[in-house]
Amino acid sequence: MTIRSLLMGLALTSPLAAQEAWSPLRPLADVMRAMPGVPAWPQVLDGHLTPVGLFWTAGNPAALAGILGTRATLGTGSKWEGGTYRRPLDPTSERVLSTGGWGWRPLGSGAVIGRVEAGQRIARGATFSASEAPYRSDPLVVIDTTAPDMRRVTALLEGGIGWQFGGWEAGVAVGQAFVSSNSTGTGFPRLLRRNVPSASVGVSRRLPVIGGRIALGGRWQGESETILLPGQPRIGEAYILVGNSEPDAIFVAGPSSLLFHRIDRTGLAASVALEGTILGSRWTAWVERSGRRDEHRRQLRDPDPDVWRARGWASGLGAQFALGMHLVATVSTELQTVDGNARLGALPDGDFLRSIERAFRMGIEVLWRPTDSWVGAVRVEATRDRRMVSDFLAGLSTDALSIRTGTAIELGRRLGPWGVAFGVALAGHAATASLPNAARMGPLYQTVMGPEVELAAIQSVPTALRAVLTRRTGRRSMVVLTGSWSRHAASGVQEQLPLVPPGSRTTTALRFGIVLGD
Amino acid sequence: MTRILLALALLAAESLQAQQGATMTGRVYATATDLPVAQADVTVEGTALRAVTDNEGRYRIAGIPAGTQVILVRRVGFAPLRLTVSVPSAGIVTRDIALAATALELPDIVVTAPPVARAQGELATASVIDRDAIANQTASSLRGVLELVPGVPIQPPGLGNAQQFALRTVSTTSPSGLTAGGPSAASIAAFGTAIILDGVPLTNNANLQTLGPRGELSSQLNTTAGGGVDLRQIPAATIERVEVIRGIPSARYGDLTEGAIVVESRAGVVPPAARFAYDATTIEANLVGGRELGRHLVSLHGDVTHTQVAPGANDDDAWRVTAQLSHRLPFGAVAIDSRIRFFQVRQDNPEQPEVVAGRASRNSDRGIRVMERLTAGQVGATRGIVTVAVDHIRRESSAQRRLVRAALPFTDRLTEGRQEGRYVEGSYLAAVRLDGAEWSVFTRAEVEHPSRLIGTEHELRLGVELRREWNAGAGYQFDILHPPQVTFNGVQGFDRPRPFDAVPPVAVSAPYLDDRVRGRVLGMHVEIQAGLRMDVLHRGSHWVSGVRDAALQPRLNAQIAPVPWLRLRAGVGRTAKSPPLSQLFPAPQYFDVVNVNYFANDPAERLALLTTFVRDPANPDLGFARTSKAEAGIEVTAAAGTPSLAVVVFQSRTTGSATTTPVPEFITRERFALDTIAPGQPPAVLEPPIGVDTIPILVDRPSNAAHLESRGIEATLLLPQIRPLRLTIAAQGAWTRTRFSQDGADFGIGFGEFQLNPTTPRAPYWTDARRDGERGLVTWRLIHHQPALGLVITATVEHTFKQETRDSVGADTLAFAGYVTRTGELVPIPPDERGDPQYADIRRARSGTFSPLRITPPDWIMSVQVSKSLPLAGELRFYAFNSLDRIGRSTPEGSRGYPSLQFGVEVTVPLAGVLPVGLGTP
Repeated sequence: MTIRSLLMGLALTSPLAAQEAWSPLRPLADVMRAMPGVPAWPQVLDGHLTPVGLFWTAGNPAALAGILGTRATLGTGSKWEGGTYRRPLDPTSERVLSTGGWGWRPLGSGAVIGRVEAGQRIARGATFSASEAPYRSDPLVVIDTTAPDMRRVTALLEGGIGWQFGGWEAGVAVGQAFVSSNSTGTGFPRLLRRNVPSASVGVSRRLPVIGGRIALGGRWQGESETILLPGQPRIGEAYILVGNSEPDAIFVAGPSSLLFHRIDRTGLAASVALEGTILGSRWTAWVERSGRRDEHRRQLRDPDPDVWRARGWASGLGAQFALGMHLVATVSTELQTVDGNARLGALPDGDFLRSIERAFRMGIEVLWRPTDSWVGAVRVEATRDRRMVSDFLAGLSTDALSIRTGTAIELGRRLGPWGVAFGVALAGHAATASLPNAARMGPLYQTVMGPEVELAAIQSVPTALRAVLTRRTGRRSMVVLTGSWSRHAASGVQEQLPLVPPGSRTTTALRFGIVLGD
Repeated sequence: MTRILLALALLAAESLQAQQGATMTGRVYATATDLPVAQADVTVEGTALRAVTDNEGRYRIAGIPAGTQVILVRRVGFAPLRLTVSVPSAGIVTRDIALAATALELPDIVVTAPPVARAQGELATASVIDRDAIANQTASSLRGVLELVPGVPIQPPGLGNAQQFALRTVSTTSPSGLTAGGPSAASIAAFGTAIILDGVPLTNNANLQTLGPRGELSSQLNTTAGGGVDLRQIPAATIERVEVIRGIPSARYGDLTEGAIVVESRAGVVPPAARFAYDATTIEANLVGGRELGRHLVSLHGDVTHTQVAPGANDDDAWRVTAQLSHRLPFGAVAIDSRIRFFQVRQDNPEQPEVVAGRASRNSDRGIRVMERLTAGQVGATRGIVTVAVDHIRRESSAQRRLVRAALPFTDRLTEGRQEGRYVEGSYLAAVRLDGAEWSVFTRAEVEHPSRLIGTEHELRLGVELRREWNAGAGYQFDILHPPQVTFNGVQGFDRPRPFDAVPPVAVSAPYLDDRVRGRVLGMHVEIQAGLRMDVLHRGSHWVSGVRDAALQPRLNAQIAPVPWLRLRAGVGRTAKSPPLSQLFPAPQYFDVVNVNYFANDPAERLALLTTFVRDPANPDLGFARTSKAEAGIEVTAAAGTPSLAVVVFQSRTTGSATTTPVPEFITRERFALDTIAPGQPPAVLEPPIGVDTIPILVDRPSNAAHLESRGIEATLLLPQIRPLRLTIAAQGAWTRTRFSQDGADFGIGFGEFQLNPTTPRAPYWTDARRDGERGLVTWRLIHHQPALGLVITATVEHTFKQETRDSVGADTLAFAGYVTRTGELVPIPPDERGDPQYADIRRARSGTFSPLRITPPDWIMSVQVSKSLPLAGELRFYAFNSLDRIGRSTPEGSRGYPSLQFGVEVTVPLAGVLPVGLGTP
């Protein structure tokens, strides 16, 4: 997946979702299950090509020392999302307000990059999830029986520095993301904190052939998530989802029976990347080996925590070609595999769940600039996700394969200091799956687990529109106003999937930004 | 140590030689342009030495004492700069100084309290926290700024609870006192830590917002009565500089036991700026600015802050609004400073009907201060300063709770005697309200006279301080039909409403004399500061009335610099603190005994007859708490680029702090027979009484009975910057042990039963209760600074390596000291007789009040701040308290819990050129 093209659009979403390749905060041995959507928008008025290379594609901080120029982006935006076509642990509707900025510049014999984002999300009810990110590889998810409105405050900081020493380069990047979340207007309160500190280091060396460089990298990520469910003023029930089986209810009544759930996650990764020029174009290839361990505790001293362990491979390729005078093509691919095992502290004799996830993404972006004023871009993406889960506790196996293809087209024109661009995107989502018969499953499966599995397995058609207005305010500055709209709904009724929610889901976003730099 | 210092002083007096000092010169320039900065103010911290740069940016200061000195450089439009310089005994030191629009872009930024620091005019150990460090600190109020003092734990920003601060003291076992209603060790220490804002103390002496030992609803009141000043009233963003005098302050500072915190608010010519801070619990906005208008210097700052204490869990919240207008008008050598300051801090704990129906509380402090200071210029070298300030604070506290009582008789009689009472029964909403209107008048007249005498330099200071404090509030109020506390027989609880304006004012006067001498002895630079202060607590309400108590307080600090990079220091002295108004003039105590208790189903047939006894617990001998303080320290500071280290050991012993001591007495109860009962009518009482018995009572009498002793060691280390990483490491730590003890007897929790049971002839009492607290704390600050980016990243790691509390008291059945009879007589029993069979009835374990050794496991916590300069001298800051969200540790010996992760952002927006006339930069 090309990375930088996500920039403006991603800034509208939660900061935790906005990780670029160089970000030490990007998921590690974890496959985040997102709702199917359209491809990322190309940035026709941005004035810069989507970059590839050891830093932008492989994310090795050592290569930061070699990036050129100075650039800073500041922006603030808002997003509204709502509709019934959603997964059970997504909110009915949400309003996000975020602000932040990022930039890079040379410093001494190297360069620095930094990014900060802060935001607030007001989510209106009907999500049972007490966990911050319920749709990830770890199957242990805390839910409760209320669906309160939630207020979530988020912040993200990350930055890196790289140095050059002759033919060597070294770099380090650190980052931390924070979430504080609380329910509002409910008798059974829900409080949540999450923080993700992370760091990556890298070293690279110029190669005597193909103008290439080789880089080695390492990454560490710690994470803690604390969920508190005080049983006052009203009592409530909570569950810890463990795969497809029906868990026992945890009754929370009174302050003395406050539900405390602490998750400590630790991940490590090592990577190698190679960059070079072949046939006149720049290529970058990388591979990363990662592992993680998530421990779930119900009290401060819990000698037998529930554990999720996962190991994964990720690899990718990025390349950029000039196709004549007016066309530039950028290709990116990424393959990710994660194999995980879950073990309950109360059942120490063996794993109760095993999952295998495979995610492949490929994107081709073609930038077309026939004149100085006109510019257009087409981005075509294809993804293939497969998730196989063997639940020994429930005695069930699921296997879901989904394929999504999408196209985003954007056309822009510069008129003096002004610039305007319009885009349209369309995607198709198809899936085949081997799922349990929902009618034979328990009430919790039918309410919380089944709809998500079936929604991922149904055909759907996401669509989106976008408009961008820019104005140059100086030789090195520009203001950007972006508005976008997207809709997502199942493309037809499938009786074999009775738990799929009806209706559609719509997202509208508006963002104002300032771009400074050469 | 006293003898050593005395000998040192004599030696110095005899052999001090003429001191020449060194000369410092150089050029002040702007980092961005390299152009000279004219009219920059260059001063030597802690002295009167000063220079102003010329058009070429040059400065020259002569006569600088040898040793490590701190140079302050200020200029409008630039960030103030503070740098440490090692000064030789003679010669010329050349130092060029770079200024930048924002401190983040300066090559050297100081974001800690450096090891080498002096409060203005003070020789004692001090932490000086300048504007840069304050701005880099995640703080909503002064309490957060004080985390830069060694040994002070870090806390999340916000206004969640009343914030009191005690210097060089750690908490002991319990937040309550050794006796019911008495102050805790933390309260005594906070009460004795003076907070001085713009030269005038903030006082809590006349704060009467307490229900005393009997208030059943007192636990709900979040007030600071009997303790220290609530520091929430001082926003961190409006502070220019804080000097924390941890050692023995000079004689000009009084009414303290632990130390003094001198706060200078932002005034004068201040580049206007607005600042906004936001996190999940707190939103803060403040504005600061000031400019010259002809000869007038006018400045303004204001702040609005809101904290939601536990969002999602309850609706408790706190508000703060502050504003200050400052004005300075110089007439040649005379200057008049005026300041008007307003603050309001309000905390609401609204009712949560679904949790506890009826329970709610609210507290509001609203104050205004008007201060005038006349500085009567240089007559020769002499300067006179007269300061007059009036503080007025309206405090409104209320609490309510639903009480459930069986049928209890009670009376609202205000004088001694017998009358029919009424019954309170069932469930009802009890509510109390405390309305205080405190007034404080502070006057100080002071003369400073620098001179040279026998080859030594003297800075003589002579002054007198007058304080008068009173409270004119409506006082303690409640609905008499729904009393906030009623217990059977009333012997422990039914206070009466009390207007505070019936409490007389208290007047204190204090003359003082202080001299600071500098010279050279045997080639070493020697400095001595000696002073004498006499605080007089007057018997009446004015400064001419008689003397109730007087405390003579000699103070001495000395310093030797055998070589420029080394300073040896020591100090010894006494301080004193007047008791609070609540202890000087305690409320009368009412004891109601039930003579007849005839409760019938028909209310018309009920009869309650009660006798009221009134005791005035006032203690005419109550006087000052007195503290003996001593410290010794060493400071090592070589040239720039080398480590700086300061270590100090200290001891502080406060004796006679005002507390409440239970004094046994007795009252009598008459029993009556009743006449025949007629339907629909109460029975008649048959005189005379058929019997009389005695009821022992405890009168809560204020006395100078509490003692607080602290000792410890403090260290501050500043390592030079590791240039390749642009990393500076600063560490500060303290190990402190505090012992809290109290004279007098402790009657335990079984005394109530003894009172009510006339067949019990005696009850045990205990003595020698002590509580100990011990804490070792090191705070590391890792500061990564990129001046080219205007970026400062500060990681603060607090490591508590030791924390223990212990109650030292005999808890076995032989630990009692004697017994009290039903007539309130104390009968001591020698230890070797306590096992005798005759005392079997009073051999019982002492329980309920004390707890044994509690060890809190060592652990650490980290906070992070990232500051980045923005265009036009703006700043963006991110902070995360407990950034790794560590929740603490649990061991069999004890557990430690940390406040949860809290993060937010701050933006400072410069307003120069934006605001209209009055707030723009000249």
